[in-house]
Amino acid sequence: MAMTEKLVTTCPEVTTGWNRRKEAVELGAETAEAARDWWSEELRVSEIALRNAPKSYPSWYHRKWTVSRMIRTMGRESETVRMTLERERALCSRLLDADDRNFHCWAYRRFIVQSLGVTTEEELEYTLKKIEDNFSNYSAWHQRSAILDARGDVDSATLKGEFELASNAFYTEPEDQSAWMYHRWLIARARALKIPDERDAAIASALEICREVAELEPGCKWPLLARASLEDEKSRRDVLDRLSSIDPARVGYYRDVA
Amino acid sequence: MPSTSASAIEDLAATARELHRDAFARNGSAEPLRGDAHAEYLRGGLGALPQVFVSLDASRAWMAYWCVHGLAVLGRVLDDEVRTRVVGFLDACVDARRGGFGGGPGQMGHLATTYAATAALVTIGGDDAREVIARADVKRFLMSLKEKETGGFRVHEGGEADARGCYAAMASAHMCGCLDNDVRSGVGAYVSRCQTYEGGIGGEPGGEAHGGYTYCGLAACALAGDFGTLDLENLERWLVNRQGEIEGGFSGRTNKLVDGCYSFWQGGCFPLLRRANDVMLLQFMERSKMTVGGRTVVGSDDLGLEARVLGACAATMFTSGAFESSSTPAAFSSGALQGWILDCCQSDNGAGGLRDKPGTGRDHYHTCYCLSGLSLAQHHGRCGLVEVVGPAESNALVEIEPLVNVVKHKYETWMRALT
Ligand SMILES: [Zn+2]
Repeated sequence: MAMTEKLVTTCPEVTTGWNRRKEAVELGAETAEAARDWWSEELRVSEIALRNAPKSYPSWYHRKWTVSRMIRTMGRESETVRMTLERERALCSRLLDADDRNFHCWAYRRFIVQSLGVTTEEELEYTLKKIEDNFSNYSAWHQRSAILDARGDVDSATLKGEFELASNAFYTEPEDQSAWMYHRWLIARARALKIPDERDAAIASALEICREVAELEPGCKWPLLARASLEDEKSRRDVLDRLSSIDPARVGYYRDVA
Repeated sequence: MPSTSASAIEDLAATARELHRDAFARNGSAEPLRGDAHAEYLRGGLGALPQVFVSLDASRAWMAYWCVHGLAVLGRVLDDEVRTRVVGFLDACVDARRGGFGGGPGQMGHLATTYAATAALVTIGGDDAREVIARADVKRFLMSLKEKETGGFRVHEGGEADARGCYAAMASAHMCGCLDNDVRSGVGAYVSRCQTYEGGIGGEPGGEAHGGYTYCGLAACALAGDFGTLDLENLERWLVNRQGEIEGGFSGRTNKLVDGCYSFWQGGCFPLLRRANDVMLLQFMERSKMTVGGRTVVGSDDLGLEARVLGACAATMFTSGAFESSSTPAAFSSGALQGWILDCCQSDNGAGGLRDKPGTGRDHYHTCYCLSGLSLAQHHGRCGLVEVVGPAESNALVEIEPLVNVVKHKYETWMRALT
């Protein structure tokens, strides 16, 4: 184990090393007591590996494997598991403070908060803080969509709040694409609303805001791009014409979709 | 420190603008490609591939591919001695027990390095290169990593499954001649689940769209001849918006900095999308027995294709180029992409090797994918036409096959001999 530790912490891409460790854990973790020591050892080693190389696929996978084993063996309600998951959440926060776009870490965080049963609101709060730190951080916007989707259908009240959050970003920095990308998810969820009146109202108000931002920022392509998927056929053509003139690098694309 | 603040994006655009302006002032166009210097740098990478001995470095099979492929794109020929040594090295990377290739001699088989080793062997070509590949072993290796429930592939024994795994499996199977229904089943559905509302493809369901996964997912579907429920329109919309209007290159994710290697990962999706649309149109016509030019389309034989569309490997028709006839420009700006690679990604002060972006160091990975991206911008910016930015004598590159990122004529020679 000492040898593989040295191996995986210096060369985390050597998958043989991680596999040896997995085999040893499977063999050694016969009793619950013994298993606990093995698992904490795996968490310690993979943390060193991640500190050295925070984007290494095998290290992240080994960590997820370890935590999944713990959950499967001891159950989510076990105090040890709960404490481990809390520590994992804190580790994710630390790593995301160092690099807020590390998608491995965001994916692992989704797994952890889901296992921990963190409420949607609490995790939304976290992503809001990350967005306030740096609202170009699209990964944090994306996390909102992922955790809201995980809860199930998104209701119109929630959508209203999210549209407002995105709109605030549009008015502050219309050229920043992160909120505009999140807006596409909002539109998709608005279209999925079951009550026709709510659906139509949500889409209409979204379109209204896009028109307004487009008017305020005539040289900005993002509100026009959003309008291109919301307007009726005739206005859509006008919008695509305007896009072609302010964004000539993509005329080929605008012609294709017209 | 936020990794991508709005100001970092502005700074890079300003740097790129200046480099473009300088290049234009000097050359009246983009920078000439310093092919000799890049070739020397890549040859150095092959020289560093040591004789066959066991080491911990898990990327040596990749190193062989990056250098062999980069040199082929530059139109350079390998010395016999180097050629033989690389073939011997790749042979030593075979994991005889499991059936695939590891990252180096004595290492466990991995899907990614199986793709890299196979693509390097296809590029090298010849009987000795062919002999390294044992088709039945590769098939056994792929099937041992296939997840029957999801259609996806684990990247190695006991490892994670993602869109990379799908691509490496499809491309290796295709080039080794074992891409059958066992291998391909469920791939379209798996990749479709990884597409996000952004339009691009993420590593796993719920993940953020990413250029590397997007290429892998789309190319895997193309090779499998199964696009599942992929929304190709939304995919194209995401892709075109990854190209920076000032820099000219592509970023890998929403609101990230432009990076040279995505010239291939994102740029390579455009020719695949165009062909995907053709395949889907033809499949639709097949189903509905539509008529083309007054003739009822029964099978693709009617259209002069090599294989029937339905039930045949779509990759065959993909590479036949049967549908690429109009000379309309692609949805991305080929000229801007070439300008980015030439002006911003070549090393400073005339040194060989290409890089992520100005201010970063060169490496073999970026050299390989910048050159691949430059080739595809030249050959796929406009269907049926080659458009080279800058002086053609120095800048024109050999055409690549975007499905597998191997030089096209070498790929075709290899596939013809594969029966
Ligand atoms: Zn890169």
